Formats: sequence, structure tokens, C-alpha cells
Amino acid sequence: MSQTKEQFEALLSKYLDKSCSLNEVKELFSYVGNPEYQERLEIVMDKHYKTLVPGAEVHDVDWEEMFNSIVDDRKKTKVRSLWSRVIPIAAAIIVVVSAGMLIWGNQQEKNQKTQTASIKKDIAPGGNKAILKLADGTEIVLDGHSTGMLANEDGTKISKTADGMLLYDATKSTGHVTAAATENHINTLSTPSGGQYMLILPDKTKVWLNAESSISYPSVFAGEERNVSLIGEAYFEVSKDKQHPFKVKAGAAEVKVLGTHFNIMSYAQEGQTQVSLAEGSVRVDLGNDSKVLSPGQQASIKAGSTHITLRNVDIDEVTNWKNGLFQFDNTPLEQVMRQIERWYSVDVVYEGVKPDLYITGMISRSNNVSKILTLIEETGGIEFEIGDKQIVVKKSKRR
Amino acid sequence: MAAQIGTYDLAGEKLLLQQIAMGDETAFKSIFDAYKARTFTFVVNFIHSKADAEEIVQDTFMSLWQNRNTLTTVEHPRNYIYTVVRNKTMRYLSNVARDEKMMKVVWANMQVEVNPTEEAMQMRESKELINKALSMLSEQKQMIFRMCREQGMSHENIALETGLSKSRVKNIMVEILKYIKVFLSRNSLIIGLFWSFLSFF
Repeated sequence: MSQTKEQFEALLSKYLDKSCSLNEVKELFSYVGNPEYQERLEIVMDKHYKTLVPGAEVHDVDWEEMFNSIVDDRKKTKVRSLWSRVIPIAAAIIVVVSAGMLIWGNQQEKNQKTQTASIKKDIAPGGNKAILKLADGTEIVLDGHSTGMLANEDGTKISKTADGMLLYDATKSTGHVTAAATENHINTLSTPSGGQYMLILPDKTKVWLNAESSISYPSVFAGEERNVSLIGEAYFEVSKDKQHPFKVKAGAAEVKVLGTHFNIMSYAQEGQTQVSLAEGSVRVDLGNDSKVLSPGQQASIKAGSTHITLRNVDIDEVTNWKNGLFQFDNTPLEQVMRQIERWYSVDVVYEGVKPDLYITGMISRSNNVSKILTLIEETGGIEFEIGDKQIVVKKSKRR
Repeated sequence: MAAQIGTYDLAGEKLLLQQIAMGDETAFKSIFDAYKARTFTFVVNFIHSKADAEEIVQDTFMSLWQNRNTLTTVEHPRNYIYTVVRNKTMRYLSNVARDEKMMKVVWANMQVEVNPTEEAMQMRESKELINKALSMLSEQKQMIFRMCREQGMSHENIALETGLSKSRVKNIMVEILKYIKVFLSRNSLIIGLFWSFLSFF
């Protein structure tokens, strides 16, 4: 079903009215996951907030209790929740920080003084965590270090082989599994903010899933094509199989591959879908437009657009996240901050006008957020305040 | 624009934020009281869950209070508070968009509550269905349901045990029962069922 603004607004209207069917709810949420409609949704929300009249439901909340638990909370130390996340990954931090290379610069004047982020608190980075949903609806939380077999679906053994990796082993599946039988046996792997995971599909294709992402795929590839769908960001190393093209649906685009290595970024917040090719060959389809990529090329589809733009990119830059690095090349600050939001699971708030800053550099994703913020501050003109699950961006008082 | 009475007192609220930044609880109570209803209704309208809306609103004000030192230079208090709520709501909706189970829960919450009829029930068969319905919900909800049903705990005791507010526990139970009812009516002919049984909660 093609998506249109009218359809979206009609569905949203019914949703707010509570008069839609379950299928309409599902359809509406397919728009919510689509970068094209993010802004539209925000506009509706803004208008709604200004004109709404609080209703009777307000009485179903104990506000006194809520207020008291908020102000009393300040007496508890918040440090505890940070420590429980920091300690398991402390070993990783020690190794990786020393290996991180940092090259910072931007278009403004370099500030001679070094500034440190005003740190009253700090925020630990993300780690290997995800949720796997099987075809029958069972959800398995993948968090922690245990390994072993998780389930068996359609003859495929699903197991967790190491911290952060999920393997689908279809080699010993007995008998024939028809495409029709497995059509509805879709598994979904989802990562939260601050999560990442690696997955080996039943055809041995490797997938690295970034934060706030989810990928859906069958437990066995039994049809003419190998179909998966993606929200968010993932890097693929598709195993060669000329007879069975591998297809990824991301937002409005469809990427068809034979055997190759590529990255797809399709977060609603970024307002565009980008497919970047490392090796091999892919074709990107969007409605009537279709482009074939060669290695080093990136196809870009802006939200709402009906055509695909190609350009050359440094492929390592695009895919370095899977190697545990943030890499920026003249990247606008806002985009940098959105990546930080997803990996550190925080909200970023801007005070006043958003700074016109471009960031270049590379740093390990294993660092606490203050390290990265301190380095950005050094470029001058900007200051960060780290709060509880929040980072405030402000103009620096010093010049 | 029926909602606003008079014009917005920008200067007054900026001053309140300054006071909050210095730890003034009374000032914080003023802002809390000014925005609790609007933010709550906003979230409920977009996510259809009073229990989760309560959590989002609590997180919002908690965030404001805990990060109060950053409030000193906020230019527009009303927009600032709204932006925090809106972003949390968007994140919630994005999570629902990736989870079909959650979509079903959202839809179930949209259904109108119908008065239960008391009828003789077929316990055994329905019990399995109830467990199946429950298994679709989050761990937390399953736990709360078990505390209430199997352990016979009061909402107050469940609240103490889980650290959630009493109103939240109550709203969660209401939403679980609603979900089970909707689930059962789609999967079984026995509708009127042990509503009388469930109505003990």
C-alpha cells in the first residue's frame, strides 16, 4: 500500500479519535517508523498540545504522590545506577580509550583554551543488548554474557554464540520447508537506545545492528528471494547466492543485492535513508526510480522525495560504527548529537539558537559521553551540561 | 484556542525557573501544577495508556527537577517543558512502531469499556487463554498481574513492592484486564466469562 500525506492524516485523526481498527493502527505505525512523516507528526502534536483541554483522565493519577517522589528523590545518590553499567564494561574502556585517535577541527576559529565539560554526572556508553522476538511472539532479552541455544524454529537452531552475537544455523534443518510455511515465521531483532547487536542469518549473511534499530527476517530462507526489513541502521555482509537475491526493505526504499557488503541508515529522525556500498553490487529501488551502486557510492533518499541521489563517500567513515568508532567528517553538530542520543540513550536539548558547527574526528564508542563532549567543546563556542539522561547544548560564555 | 486563559506570563515563569534552579520546591510545585494536566492529557491522547503516560510525565518532571541547574537560561519555559514531553512521547511511539505486540496493546487500550455481565464461567479453558494473553504483555505487567491475582496483594502493597505509584498500579491493572478482555473476545466465544472473577481486582 502506498503511503500518502492524506492517508497519514486520516489515520492519525482516527487514532486520536480512538475510532480505528487494529489494521489501521498497524498501518499508522508504519508511517511513524518512516522518516518521511516524522515532521508531519510533530506538527500535529504541536498544534494538538496548544489547543487541547485536559480531561477527566487527569483524576486517575495521584499527583501528590508523583510530586513527592520527584522531590524526595534528590536525596538518593544517582551514582549507583551508573556504576552498575560502568563496571561490566570497564575492561573494554581501558583497552579502547588508549587506542582511540582524535582529530578535531571545524570551520570556526580554534579556541586556544581547553575547556572541560561541566561534569556533575557522566553517562556510560551503550553495549550489546537487544530483544529477539520469535514467530510465535515469544520475546527473549539478549543482555548479558550467557551463551547457548535459545530456540529452534523450522529446523533452524537459534543460539547466542558470544556476547553480542546471535546465530541462525539452518545447516541441519531436516526435510523441506516450504516458502509458504515460513512466510509468517518472522523473527525480529530490536536494539534499544544504547544497544547494538550482531546477527548471523540462516543463509550466513552477517548483520551488525546499531542502536534504536530493528530487523525482521524469516527463520529459514525458503523462497525465491531472501527478504528482510530494516528500521534504523545496519551493516550487511550478504553471503553470495545468485539464485536467491537478497532484498532489504528500509523506509520507502528497497535494496536488492546478490552478494556484497553495504550499510543502510534509515532512522526516522534523520529525515533520509542512505545506502552505502563497500563491496559488490546493489540496486536501490524507490517507486519508479532505480539506481545501481558501485563500491564507494552512496544512494540517498530524502524524506518525501521520489528520487535517489548518488554520491561518492568514504565507506569506512560510514561503517566505522560497527567497529566501535564514531567517525565524523564535517558532520553538522545536530547530526552528531543525534548519534549521541541513540548510543548513550539520552535526550539532547538546545538552549537558544542551534550552533552552526561542523565536527570532524574519530573516537571510540566505548567512552563515557563526557570524553566526546569535552573534545567538541575544545573546538570552541559551545558548552555542554550533562544531566540525568539529558545533555544541554549551549553557547559558550567564554570566547 | 479555548485552553489558555489570558496571555502567557513569560517573565513570571522564567523567574519561577530561576528559583527552581536554586532548589526552591515551592516554585517547582507551581510549575508542576501548571503543566501536569496538559502534559498528561497530551501523552494519553497520543499513546492511549494512562499508566505509561504517567511514567512519561513523571520522567519529564523528574528530568526538570534533577537537571534544575540548567533551567537558568531557558528562554521559553512553556515550549521547553513541552519539547521534553514531546520528545519522550515520540520515542515511545517509535518503540511501538517496532513492536507489533505493543501495537495490539495500544489498540486494546482504545476500546471502550463495556459493563461486564456475570455468567457461569468455564475456568479451565479460559485460564489457558488468559495466560496466553498475558504472555504477550511485558514482564512488568505479568508480574503485577500475578502479585494481584495469585498473591492477592492490594494495589498499595504492589506499589510499595514495585516502587510505582498507587495510581499507576491501578491503571496498569485496568489496562491489563482490558487487554485480556479484548484478546479473549477475539479468540474465544466465551466473552461474558469470568469478568466477575476478574472483577475482584
